[in-house]
Amino acid sequence: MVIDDGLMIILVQSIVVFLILLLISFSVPKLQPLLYAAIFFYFLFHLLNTIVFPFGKYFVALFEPLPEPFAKLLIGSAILFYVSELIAKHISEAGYGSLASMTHFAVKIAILTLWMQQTATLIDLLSKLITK
Amino acid sequence: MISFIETILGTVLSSFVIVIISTFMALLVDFLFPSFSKWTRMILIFIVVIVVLQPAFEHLTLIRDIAHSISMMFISIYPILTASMIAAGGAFSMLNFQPAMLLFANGAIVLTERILIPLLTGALIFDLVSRILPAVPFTKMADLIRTTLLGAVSAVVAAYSIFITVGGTMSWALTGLASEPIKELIRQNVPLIGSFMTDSMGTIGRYSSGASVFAGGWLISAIWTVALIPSFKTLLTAFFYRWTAALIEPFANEDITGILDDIGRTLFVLCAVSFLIAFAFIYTALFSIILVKLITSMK
Repeated sequence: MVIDDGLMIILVQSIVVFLILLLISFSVPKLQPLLYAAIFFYFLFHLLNTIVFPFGKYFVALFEPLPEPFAKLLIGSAILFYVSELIAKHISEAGYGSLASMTHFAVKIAILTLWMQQTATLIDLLSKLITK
Repeated sequence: MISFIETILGTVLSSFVIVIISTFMALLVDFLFPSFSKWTRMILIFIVVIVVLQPAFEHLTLIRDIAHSISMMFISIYPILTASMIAAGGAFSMLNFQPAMLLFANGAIVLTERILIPLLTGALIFDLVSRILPAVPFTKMADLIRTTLLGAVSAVVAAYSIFITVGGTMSWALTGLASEPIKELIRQNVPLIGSFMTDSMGTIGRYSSGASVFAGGWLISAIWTVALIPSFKTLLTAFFYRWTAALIEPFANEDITGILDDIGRTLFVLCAVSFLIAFAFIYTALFSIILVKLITSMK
């Protein structure tokens, strides 16, 4: 499987990244936040590309018998939420807590808009019970 | 009959398989993203309400539509029936078919359509609300509505049997020794409404056995089937809800099993209500058949 090989490589890479960050903090402590952010985002996108997105596709295919949008929406919004939380944490670690909570809030609204159509169906169904 | 059961199995069972699969999916997502678990629960409730409660809602609307059309039919034909009864003279007195009984049976339908089924819808919504927002529980309210409804329906059926035995001309064979084990079986295995079912079936049967002299056994059984199919379907669906709740209880969220269980209980009460409709339908149908027979034979 693709995921198994990729997983091992990613785990090794994460240790290498950790060592590089330690080296940077010794050699150029003033540049450390900037380089940390750059490496963090590079590593995050690498991780998303090699592990998370293939797994997401695999997950959606696994739950194919479910009615169409649900599996896709659930795993999609969960991944979106998790990534947004990760980035927000990173930003607030750098000392910009309010900016972090702002971006997280925006992503939450984006997730809600994804579910808007399903919510409309639900409200329709429930209101059909009440009205004749 | 077989294909009828297969259709129910097809629609209902597939939606319950969906519940089981989506519960597994929610388990996986919970494991991966624990910070998202609050929303996973909400989304699971979404799936359950949209996909799985569809059969329950369909049954509710089905019974509501049937009640509506029967009450409309009754309002339109009641004057004709009573007028022709008066025209037929004293031939009815030996049959114990009083117009008051007809009025009562169909009045029960009007009651069902106007009060009982809206209350049942209310119970369903109370259940959903108290599961989705556990901070605002309405469970006692929903239980109260259900027990009240069951009490009202049983009272109406008891009144039916009083009406029938006052006349005294009709007795039924199913009260005999042979059917007692079956009745006991139903009474003990159908939750909530088991004893009610045997009682009301006895009441219906007492009427139709008296009328079968006039209408013929096949016709009677045809009317029985038509009248009881909605009740039977509702009963089967209610059982499926409770079975699924029992099946997924070990690994599913308590809310999901609770919702399914509550919906099952509401459907049992709906089944009891539909017995009321079935009785009125059978009564009106037999009444019209006997009326037509009498009029044609008097010529």
